[in-house]
Amino acid sequence: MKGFAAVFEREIVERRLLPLAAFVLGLVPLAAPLLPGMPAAPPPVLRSGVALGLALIVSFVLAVLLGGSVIARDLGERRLGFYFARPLSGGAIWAGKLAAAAALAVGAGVLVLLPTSLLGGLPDPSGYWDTTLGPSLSRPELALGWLGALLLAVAAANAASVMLRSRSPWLLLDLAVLSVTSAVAFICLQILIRDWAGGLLWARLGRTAAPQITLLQNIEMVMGAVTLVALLAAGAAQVSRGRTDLHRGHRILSLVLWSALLPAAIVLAGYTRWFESPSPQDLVSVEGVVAAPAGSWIALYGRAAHRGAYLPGFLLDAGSGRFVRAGFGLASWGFGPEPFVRFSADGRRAFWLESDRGSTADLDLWTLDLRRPGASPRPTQVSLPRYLSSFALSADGRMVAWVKGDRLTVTEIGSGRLLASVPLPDKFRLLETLVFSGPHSLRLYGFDSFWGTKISYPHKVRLSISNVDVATGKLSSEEMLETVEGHTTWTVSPTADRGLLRAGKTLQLRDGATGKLVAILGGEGSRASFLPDGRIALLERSPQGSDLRFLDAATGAELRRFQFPAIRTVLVADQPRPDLVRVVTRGSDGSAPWQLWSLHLSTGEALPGPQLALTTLPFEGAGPWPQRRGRDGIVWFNPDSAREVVVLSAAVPIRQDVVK
Amino acid sequence: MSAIDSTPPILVEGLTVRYGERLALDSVSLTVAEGAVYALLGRNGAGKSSLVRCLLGEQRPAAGRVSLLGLDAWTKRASIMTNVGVVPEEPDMPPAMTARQIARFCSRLYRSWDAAGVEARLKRFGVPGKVPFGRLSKGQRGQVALALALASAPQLLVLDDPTLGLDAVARKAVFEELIGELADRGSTVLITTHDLAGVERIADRVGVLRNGKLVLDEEMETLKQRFRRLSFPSAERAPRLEALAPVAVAARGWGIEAVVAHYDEERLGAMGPDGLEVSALTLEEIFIALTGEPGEAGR
Repeated sequence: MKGFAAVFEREIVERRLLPLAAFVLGLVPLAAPLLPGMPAAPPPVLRSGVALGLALIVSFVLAVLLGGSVIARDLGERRLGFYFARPLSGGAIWAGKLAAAAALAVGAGVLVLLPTSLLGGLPDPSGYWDTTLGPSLSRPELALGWLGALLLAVAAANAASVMLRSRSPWLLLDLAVLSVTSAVAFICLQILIRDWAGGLLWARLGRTAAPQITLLQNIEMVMGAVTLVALLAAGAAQVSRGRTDLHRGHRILSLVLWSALLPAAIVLAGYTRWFESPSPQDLVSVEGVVAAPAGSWIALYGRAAHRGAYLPGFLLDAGSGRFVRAGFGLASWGFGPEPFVRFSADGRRAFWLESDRGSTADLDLWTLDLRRPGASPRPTQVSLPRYLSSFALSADGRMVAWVKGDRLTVTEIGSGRLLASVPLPDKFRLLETLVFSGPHSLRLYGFDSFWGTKISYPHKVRLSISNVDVATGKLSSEEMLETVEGHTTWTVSPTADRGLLRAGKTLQLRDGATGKLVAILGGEGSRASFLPDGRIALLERSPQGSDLRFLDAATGAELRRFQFPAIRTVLVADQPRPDLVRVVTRGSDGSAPWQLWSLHLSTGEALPGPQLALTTLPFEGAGPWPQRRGRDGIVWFNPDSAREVVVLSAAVPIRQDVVK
Repeated sequence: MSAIDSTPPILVEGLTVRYGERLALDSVSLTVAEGAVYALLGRNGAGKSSLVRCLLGEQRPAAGRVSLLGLDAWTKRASIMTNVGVVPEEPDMPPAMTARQIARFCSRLYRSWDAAGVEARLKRFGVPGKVPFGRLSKGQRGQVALALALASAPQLLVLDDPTLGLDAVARKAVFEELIGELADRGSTVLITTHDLAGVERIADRVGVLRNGKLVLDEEMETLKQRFRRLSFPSAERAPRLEALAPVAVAARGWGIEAVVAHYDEERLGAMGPDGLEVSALTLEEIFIALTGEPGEAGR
């Protein structure tokens, strides 16, 4: 310690004019408001800004200059022997010189700030901080970070200076390994930033509640700390083991530095690889799910364990568990419970929107052939703007349409050709649904109310409907104003010719083109959905059990009724044939097994099938991927339609359910 | 720190230093007894500086070991230096500091420090105390280094060519200072120098390095006893020189001159050369005879 203090003091004394110069430089910001070309701002703000900027520049430049000279210049000029001829350990020499350089750099920065601080208080650096570290850090944390950055600059400058002064062939190795590690770190950070490791999910720093940092900030700090420790260790080894021999010191420095940073880069690459390779089992919350209209594929996304705000998306075969990762999570987040994924009507192809790598502007439309095992996602010719209101896929999967702001755009996917670009009236600012109502026509539905929000008092809801002809770009609009009470939802049939409006305490069947009332289907407790063929399945619950009614979509008239005594949960799964609907039921006990039923609409027979093991996804993303995974399908709650949705595995045989 | 009694202050065993392919020191072994003054001689590039760097723990040898005051010079360097005074070949003090500032810095590192002695020596040498070290003359820098090296009353002094670049007066002052130190304290000294006349007055033992090998390691008196210059008036009257195993032979205008490494008066008398003149050699002449011409020095 005595040696360290002596060396430290000697370095400070030798450069004692630096603090004086820094203090004099600190007087410049006081005159900043008088200098020409300064931006218009109140004088105290201007002074603080200039003082802070000057302090940062001065301390950083000094850190580099001193770091590059305190050891390396002595080595190059053969002066380090003076210290080694004294009873000083290599560590004391290194630490004393390094600490002095850092202290001078920090002290100079503080002295530059001092006159301004005395005049008008210390400038708050957090107001000027605008990097990935974000403005959330407090003043002491920023000061600590700056101290670390200066120490890093001193140690890095020393390493670079030793390498350059030695002029040995090891410099080529240094440059090669530096290029590799820098490239790895840069690419990994780009991937992590793209995957949104810097967003949303917070981790606590220390035990205090106030300062919170993101996962990316944690990674950046770990990377900085590892680099700093590697540089400090390398510098210490260079002085302690290389002593007065510049070439030997360079060799030792390089060996220690790269043997620390190269594995660190490999670890970072491995971590990044792990980070972007989650499976559905890693999800700690499910943010959105959508099922294919046919088949057993679903698309879901959510937050994965230990991955910050990364929102991995998955195309998942509910039966086999096979999944393909897709990057629609980030693009979908904040746009409702269904991700930006659409399936062709036959359920054989999926299309989704994904953040464009390297760009913050566009979303690319990607696709996957779900029939081919081993198929990889591939981008299409189409790019969509961010912050869409909605997007839709034609039934044949050849066209994509989207609404951004007050414009509807239709594009051919195969060629990327623009088919239509139609300006929309203001009433579509709050778009609810966009549907291909025919091969060349689109229908748009909009609410300009508190859609999706549960409110109990009477309020006005305006349902706007527009029809667009893709070929001509012609738009016609209808409008419907209703006073409702309570939760309001709007569900459209597959071809958009009918709609189900949950308006307060009634469930109404509406015409899909005009919005006119067709029939009142039920009361408050009733739930309805469209079958793939357009008919309506209406579930009504009573204390005695559940009634499942199948209705004609044209009139709302009942076609068939099935009764499930003592059963509360009845979910329509699929419609393998026009006259066959499969449902799953479960008693009031949530842990009871699911029961498969085959309902024959033509005969009215209800045949029980086998008991099923279904994977139940967490309600509105409130929990992790379930530990108990069922092999027969997946069930989840869709808050948009306020009903549960089930997708059965293709392995659940259709014929088997009719055999008792 | 206390040296083991039986261990000499300097013990070098099988010391080998390589710079890439080049062999700077080739298995050098030497011992310097307590209180002795060891003059390590050699031409430029002979390996003296490499040996000194190894002694001071600045360089790790490729093979062999160096022990100073009973401790390993590489691993225990910092501890050893408490009792070692060093004058480097190129005085390497911080150029911006004055001699007094440097002395103040050094005084914090040693258990004992003779500040008054430093002041007195600087005064004797005529070194200005307020001039930065970098602006002192080469001789003055060496004198500052010597003053600092002696200030901690070291058990061992390592002087790497301390008179390099000094004028005759300054050289004399350095050696007188050393003689005074030796008289007062009896420190062990290892000195490398090209000032052979100066070192001849104080050295007890001499080592000569040539091409990385220690070709001579001997007491000064013994060395001077066995080396003689033989002058023969003419070649015809000279005996068979090969029989005398001369280390150097030169034809002069007046006859033949030979230097023998093992002077044997009786044997030479038996050979009966006429007009033979026998004279003693200075250390410098012995050194030149050993290193200036091809051939090995006999030990």
